Amino acid sequence: MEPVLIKKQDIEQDSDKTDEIASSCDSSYSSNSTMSELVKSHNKLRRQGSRSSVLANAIQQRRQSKQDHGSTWIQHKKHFFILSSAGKPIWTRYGDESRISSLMGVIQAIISFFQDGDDTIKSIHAGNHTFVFLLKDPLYFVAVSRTGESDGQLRDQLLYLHNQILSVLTSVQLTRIFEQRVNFDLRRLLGGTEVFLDSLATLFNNDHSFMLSALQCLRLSRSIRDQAGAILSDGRVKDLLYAMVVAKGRLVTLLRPRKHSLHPSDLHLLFNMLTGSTTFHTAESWTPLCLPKFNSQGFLHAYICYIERDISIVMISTSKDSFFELSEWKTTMVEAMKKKNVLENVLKASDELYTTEDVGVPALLHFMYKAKSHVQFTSPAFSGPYENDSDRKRLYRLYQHVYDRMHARTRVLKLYYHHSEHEIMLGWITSSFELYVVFGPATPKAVLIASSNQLLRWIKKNEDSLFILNSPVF
Amino acid sequence: MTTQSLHEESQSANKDDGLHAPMLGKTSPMLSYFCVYNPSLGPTEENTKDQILYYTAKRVVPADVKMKQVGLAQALVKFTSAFSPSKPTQNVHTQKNRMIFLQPEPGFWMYMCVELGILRRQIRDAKGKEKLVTEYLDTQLSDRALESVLKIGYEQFKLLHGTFSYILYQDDEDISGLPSRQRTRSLMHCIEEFFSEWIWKWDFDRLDTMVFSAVFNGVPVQPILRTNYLKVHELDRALHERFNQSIDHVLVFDSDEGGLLYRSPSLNIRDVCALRKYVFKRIEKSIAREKEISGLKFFTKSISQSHFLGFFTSSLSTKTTAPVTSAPVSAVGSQTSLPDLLDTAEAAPEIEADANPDTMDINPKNGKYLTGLVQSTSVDMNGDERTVTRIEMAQVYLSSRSALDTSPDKPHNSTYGHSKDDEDEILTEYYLVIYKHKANIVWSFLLPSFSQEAEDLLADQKFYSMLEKYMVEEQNLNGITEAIVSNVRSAQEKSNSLGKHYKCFYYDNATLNMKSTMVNQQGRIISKYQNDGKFVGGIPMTNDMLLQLLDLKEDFERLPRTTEIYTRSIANYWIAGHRLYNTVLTRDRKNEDIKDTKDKPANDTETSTEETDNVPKASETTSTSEASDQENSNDKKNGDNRGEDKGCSFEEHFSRSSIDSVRTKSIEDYTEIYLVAAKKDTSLADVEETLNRMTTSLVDAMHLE
Repeated sequence: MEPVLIKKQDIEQDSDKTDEIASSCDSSYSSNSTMSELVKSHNKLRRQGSRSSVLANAIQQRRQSKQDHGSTWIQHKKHFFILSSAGKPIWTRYGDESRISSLMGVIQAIISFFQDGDDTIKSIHAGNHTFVFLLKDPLYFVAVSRTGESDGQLRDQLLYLHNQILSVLTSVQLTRIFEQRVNFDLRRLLGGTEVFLDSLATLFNNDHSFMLSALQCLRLSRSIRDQAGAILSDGRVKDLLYAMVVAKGRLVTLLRPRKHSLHPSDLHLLFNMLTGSTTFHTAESWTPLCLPKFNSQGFLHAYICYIERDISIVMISTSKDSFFELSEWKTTMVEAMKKKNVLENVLKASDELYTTEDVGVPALLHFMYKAKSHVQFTSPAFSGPYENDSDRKRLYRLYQHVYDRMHARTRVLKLYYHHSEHEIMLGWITSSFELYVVFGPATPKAVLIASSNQLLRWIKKNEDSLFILNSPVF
Repeated sequence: MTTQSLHEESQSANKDDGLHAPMLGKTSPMLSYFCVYNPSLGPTEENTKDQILYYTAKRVVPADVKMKQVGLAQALVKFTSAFSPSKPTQNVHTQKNRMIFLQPEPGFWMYMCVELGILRRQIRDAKGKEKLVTEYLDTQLSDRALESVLKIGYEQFKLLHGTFSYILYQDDEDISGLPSRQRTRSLMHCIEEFFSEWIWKWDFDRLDTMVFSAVFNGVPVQPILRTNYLKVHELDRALHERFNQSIDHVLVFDSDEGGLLYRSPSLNIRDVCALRKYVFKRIEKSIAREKEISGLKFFTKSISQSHFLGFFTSSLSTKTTAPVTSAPVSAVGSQTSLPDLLDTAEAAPEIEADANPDTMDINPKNGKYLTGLVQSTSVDMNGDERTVTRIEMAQVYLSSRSALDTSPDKPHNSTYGHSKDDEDEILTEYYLVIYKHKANIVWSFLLPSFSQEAEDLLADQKFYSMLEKYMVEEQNLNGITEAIVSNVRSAQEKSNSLGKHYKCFYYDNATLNMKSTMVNQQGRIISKYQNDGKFVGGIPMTNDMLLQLLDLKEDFERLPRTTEIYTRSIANYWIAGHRLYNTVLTRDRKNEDIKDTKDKPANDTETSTEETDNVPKASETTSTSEASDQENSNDKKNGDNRGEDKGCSFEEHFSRSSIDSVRTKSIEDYTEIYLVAAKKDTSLADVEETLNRMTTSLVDAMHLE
């Protein structure tokens, strides 16, 4: 019988051979990690190149001076850097790790200057740029951004990046590696998992669940959700911790032990793995995984399989030998889901997300509603003016802004009304919910309040399809 | 992630080892060190210390530590410039400190480090064990407020000494080489002379002072009747003629309330803003001196000499609590008035007033001069009074040009307020003569220093009495003053009830006008702005409220074209802000008024106010602001008409002289109104209604006619 969790001592035994772990990591993200360095850097460049904020500049600059290549990356709106406390580059969102050593050296020097004075640097502001530092020895995390996100929001994002690294290595391994060799090049160990750091960094700009610290569920009729839950609960294999069905990054249903709820932060990391790489789309996967909020010191094992396009089953086990059992069980579940038309309905629901038009509140343009007790939020698909890319981006940042202003630690607000030429946003926080609602710029305040109340009634009425009210437990 | 960041915070809060048994409770943020440096002054390894032009710290700091701090500052600036080449480092937050940077001129950096306030508490951990938690109060310090402090510090320095680079290079064409030792030393001396006193005066816990004197760095205007305005304007013109154009600009303040009553149209509003602070500092100094003298007289007569010395020290501490209404700069600190007194007494050559009957004519009778030829009463050791006259010249540097300046038009910033690069700014040196009329109306005269004629006038004792005599006897100064004083009084009585739970604040970024309406005992708002920016009466403005207000200001700056923000805190107070872009708030009313109320007696203002109190006016204002876009096109026409209209109100004249040249279509051209409501059950609708009502009442307050 394998241990339930890989405890500290267990890791100590096999982590002397760190390279072995690295290679085992490699094998778990098959296609991606076997790529040559060349292909990887090509992919990275392609990814960066597709980001419109810099492309035009990049082309222009390339024309201007051909030898100057490689400096345009710095013009991106938001950077993340991870370095070791010895100043070695580990990962950068843009640019090439091997070429930024001098910049990392400067960062390391600045951080240690403050440390020498028994102080810690937290952030720098320069014009529209914000620089945020997060020190998690033996690693340093730095964000450089001109997106208007607050210090706190950027710090939270750095924490996610930190958790992502822990999910690959565990805190125990990480500490030991650097205890043994201060100058260790961690890139070797991350082997291929950088792609998840990349996708996390992108996801921060597209998904409010990180900021809200809540889960977004697929809107689905209660009966279908219950059916899916029942199928998951039925015939559970031993050592199973969690099992879930996910459609397009939205949770359909989750099976969990009575005593262990799953922390949203861990789930977000998991969702990022699902969407961040195409690796899992093609085959069944079995990978060691640390869920930092669950236990940052040990590995769990994740079974991931796409059962339909956009729909996946994820199962977390405490045993590293459960793969075949889980795989078998998955086949049974898929059959059951097909038989009861569950799969078809979930697919339909994920293809046709609801919009504000379905809500039927006049002048309503968009909203986000977080049910505090369920740690879940719901938000309609973008429609109307927000089908436009630049308007949607502005709305995204506005949500972030309003959220931040209302949650500033020392000056928490109950209500925040913001009127600009494009839209009105009202943030409203009570003990049970947080509502962020968007109306056209000409909406009078009285209408705004009435419509918000109307929206709250609609949400209440549709509560059981918008949220998972009672997930199956064992 | 909120919980997570909370966790973060508590982790970062240091656990004290208890060795020093630190005190429980809260300490205030305080200045750790402040310096001025320019990296180009010490480009090589050997002379890096030459970069530092000024350094002051809480405690004695060895030279190498100073160099380290300045070196770090430069490293931070260099690091951020890789990502943000155009906008350099503004501030750095650390666990225990806040660093603030300002580059007022290319290459010159003002840099200060403030130790955060600390809160030490005893808490019980999960096991019920008591432990001491230290929390650094980072969020209590506003970056914007601290940066503004440096900005007005530089503003005042520049007013009194000119720019850093001018002192260092004067008119040198080539500024690439190192400046001469002598000039460097004189710059260092100027900086030290000004900042050594100034920078330590700030209490970083007094956010109200910082907000209403530095963040909103404006000039409260005290509106007066058009007829009175024109009388002052006539007097301004007459003075100009009478003294062969040597009196270039004139400024008139109400020294009780601090409001601007008049400025020569030729005077740049930014200059007025800087001058106002300085003039009020001089006024306060003179009041303080009078107090010293009367105290001295009393004490020297009754006690021995050894006690007499003791009096100086004790009077220092009493001064701190004296409720002096004063200019912001000097209101904050307190310990320095006495050294000032001694300084100036030493520096200025004293002229004993003779018993000669001629001198009786020299002495001003209707007021006194605070700069120029100054008279003061001094008390000798025997307690006998005698009058001392001495020359106390005040020189100021302004961007407003002199009419006597015949040099060809250099590139000149007429839209100075919006211009980002002040480096090409050309400053003119003036002598400032401050005359305080007995009715507490303060006149400031600016004479160009390059003019020999002006110089001769100022050196001549007769000039001062002549000036007063001319104003009083030939221009009816006393009559004008009386009219103005009654004007001011009626403006204060004129009030509009917002209810006692509201406070408001108004700021115009183009005209720099500002106003705060407060609640008096009767629950009626009055349009009044106290010199030192303090709110008095009504609901107290806590630092939290002010920080929330600054957050709103920040939001207006950060999110383009934001027009309205309402916030409600968990403590249930509302803070609402409204920003109007490029809109002359009062246009419609103004035009009506000009037709209807020509030469209306001042008494009638009371009744006309009553009329405007009712609701339809409020809604009218709302629609005005909402339809602003549409009206922008009309604006031009109105402006043209206005130019021809000779009989114009104060505000009208203001528009012509300043607003029209300052108002651009720029995003910087805006007006902000803030409302604070501190009543529990106030609704969003209440706040909206009050904000509209307040806007109307402000419009009224600004227009007496």
